[in-house]
Amino acid sequence: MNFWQESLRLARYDLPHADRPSGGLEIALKTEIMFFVQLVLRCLPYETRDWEISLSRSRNHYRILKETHLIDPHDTKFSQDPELNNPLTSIEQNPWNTFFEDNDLRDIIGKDVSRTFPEIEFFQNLNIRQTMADILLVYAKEHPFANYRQGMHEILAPLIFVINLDNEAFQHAKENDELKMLTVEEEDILNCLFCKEYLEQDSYNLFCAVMLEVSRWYEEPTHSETPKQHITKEPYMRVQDSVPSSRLMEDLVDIGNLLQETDPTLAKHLSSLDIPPQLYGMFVQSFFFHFKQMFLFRRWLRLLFGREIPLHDLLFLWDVLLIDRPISPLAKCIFVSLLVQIRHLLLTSDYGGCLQYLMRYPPIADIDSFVKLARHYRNPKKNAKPMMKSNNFSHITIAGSSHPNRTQRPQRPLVVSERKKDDLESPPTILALAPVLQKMKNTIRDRSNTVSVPSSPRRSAEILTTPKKNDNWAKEVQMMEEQVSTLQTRLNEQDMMCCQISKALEICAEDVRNAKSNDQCESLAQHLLELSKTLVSIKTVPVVPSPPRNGKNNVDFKQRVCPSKFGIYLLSAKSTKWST
Amino acid sequence: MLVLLIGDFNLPHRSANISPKFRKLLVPNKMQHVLCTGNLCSRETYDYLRTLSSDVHVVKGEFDDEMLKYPDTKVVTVGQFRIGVCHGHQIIPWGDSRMLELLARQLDVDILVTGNTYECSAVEKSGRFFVDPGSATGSFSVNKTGPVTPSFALLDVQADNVVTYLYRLIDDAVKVDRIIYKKSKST
Repeated sequence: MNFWQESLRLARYDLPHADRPSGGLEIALKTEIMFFVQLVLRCLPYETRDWEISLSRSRNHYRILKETHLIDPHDTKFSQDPELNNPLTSIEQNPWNTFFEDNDLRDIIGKDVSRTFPEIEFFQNLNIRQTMADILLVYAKEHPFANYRQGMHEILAPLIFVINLDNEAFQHAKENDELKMLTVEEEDILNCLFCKEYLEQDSYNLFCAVMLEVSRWYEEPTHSETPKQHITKEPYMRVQDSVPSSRLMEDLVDIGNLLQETDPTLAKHLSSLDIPPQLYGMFVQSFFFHFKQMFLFRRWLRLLFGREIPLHDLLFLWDVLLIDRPISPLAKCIFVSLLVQIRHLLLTSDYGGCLQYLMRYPPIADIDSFVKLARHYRNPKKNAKPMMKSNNFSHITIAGSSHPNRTQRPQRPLVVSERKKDDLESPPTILALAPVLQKMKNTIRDRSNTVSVPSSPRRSAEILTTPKKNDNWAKEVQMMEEQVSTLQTRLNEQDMMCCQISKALEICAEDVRNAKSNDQCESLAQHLLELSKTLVSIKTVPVVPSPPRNGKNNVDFKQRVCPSKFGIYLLSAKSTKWST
Repeated sequence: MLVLLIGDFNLPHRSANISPKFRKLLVPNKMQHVLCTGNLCSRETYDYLRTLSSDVHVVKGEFDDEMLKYPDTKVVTVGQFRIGVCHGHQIIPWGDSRMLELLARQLDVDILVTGNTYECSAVEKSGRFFVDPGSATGSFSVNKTGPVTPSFALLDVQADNVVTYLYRLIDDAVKVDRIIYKKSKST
């Protein structure tokens, strides 16, 4: 079926039921166009036939808003009497007054907009910048309670980018005659939907829809409370001890609790370093009320992770986020999984190192498994935890430059830190293995003096995995790495097969039991059930010599033991090499 | 883009202060440039202009301190317009329109701002625009009989035209006039 036709159909039928997360997700992730369509959903009625009307209505609405809020004193609609309409007089009717009032806001917005995604050419376009500034200004004027806060431009930027992308894709398809299969009616609707002239209008409407979800994090704490709080603040009271004053703070406290649940080790480590989630979201303790600092944790929430993740992956992440409305629970989970992702880095670094890693989050190599992890935290029963490998390029920042921590990372004795962590009963992920590999790689790279500054994350991945010539070490390590991963996959496959077979057997036993109720059948069913049980317990035999009988524990046990086993194996291999 | 044209203060020699009505109009953060036609006569006047905008251009009037080394003429480009500033006491005969045109051609400017006549005016002649902001304090002038009307001018520079607002203080009330100048296609 034609792609465009399909997207129309999907928009109509499937996405409204996107509550079924798996189905909606798969569809939405197919391409970015879905992002647009499904976002528009809130702005568009259910019936595609009504789209045209509603689109023109919302576009008109924006035009009117723009006229009322973006005042041009030269406009002829104002009184042309120079006594009333001149730049300096402060009479009420003077349009110049509002013009000057907006000037400050316009300045701030202009500054922020010019800093949006400097590495992407699209945002260097002056027209686009002007458009963005206009949208933000209109939004600020239209929603005085939210106003403009720093960071909103980073939410708008991906939206406008995607809409533009979709428009261009549609134009391209039109030129290539890919729309023949569509009916005239459908084509009209699409034509209306993807109209270049209305980029600004559509962006504004989408932006408003997204802001509905996000604006809670932009709220200022209520002014009546906060000064009092500052007065009652006791000496030596830490930021995290005080009562949360805004919804942003409440959410941050929630995140802290969630982290405590999912990864107590990491939470303990962070709190021992005095980095609670709300620390940086809070006002820096100063008696000047307006002197505030917006730091990383608040930054993460506010920008919807825009700073921590490259744009392409970001679009994907947003898709996932926006399907699962209201977005705040999932956002919290993503927050936690961002932390868990780099737990091996965080656990091995000191205060300064931690802050560096948090401020300049290392790029995520595989966004897919990351999203799966987040969804696992969101709903552990429905979504399986993905197999985690080291997923971040720890040595570079998003911009591609060398990560500051690279040079100053403390080189602790490997075995000790690894053992310690194992003793602390790290959660059942393969992540426990990651630091070992990472460190070995690093030491090898350092030893052979091949540390080069990679220009892009992708290229760096190649550099990371392809060892330098004559470097037996690197080769060996890589081979082991591959072995580990193949073994892991094989294990997984076997696991799955065993589970399925045992399930089938159980069903079979059930059927047999239901069909006839004589003793022979009963014994047959018993036999089948036993068979399935043994299957479940057998499945880990190749790796772990003596698995416990219980099937459920078994899985945990396997996941916990295998990585560290391999880790130790690798370690011993390494130490023998060192001695030679 | 707003450009304030102001000059011939003669503070403190001939006047005590700028009228409070004018002071109320002239507030910071509105105009981007200030072009002064000279005769500030004191450091304080210059400081006052600096409070209105960070970009202040001053040319030399006949009563300004020689030590300050203000230039005789200055050309400032705002948007697509070249604006020349000169006090005008160097142009003889004073205020002669043909001599002013000559100067405008010499400087190759679209708008020529001169003072020294102590009378506010804005006229377009042969494709160029001549503005005289007059005296901001309404101080006494040697070539005028009778009282002088305090005045200044404000240019609103847009893409292809300039709207000039002339502010005059008549009978202790501010009168505003507007003159629009469009840049001709040939220049």
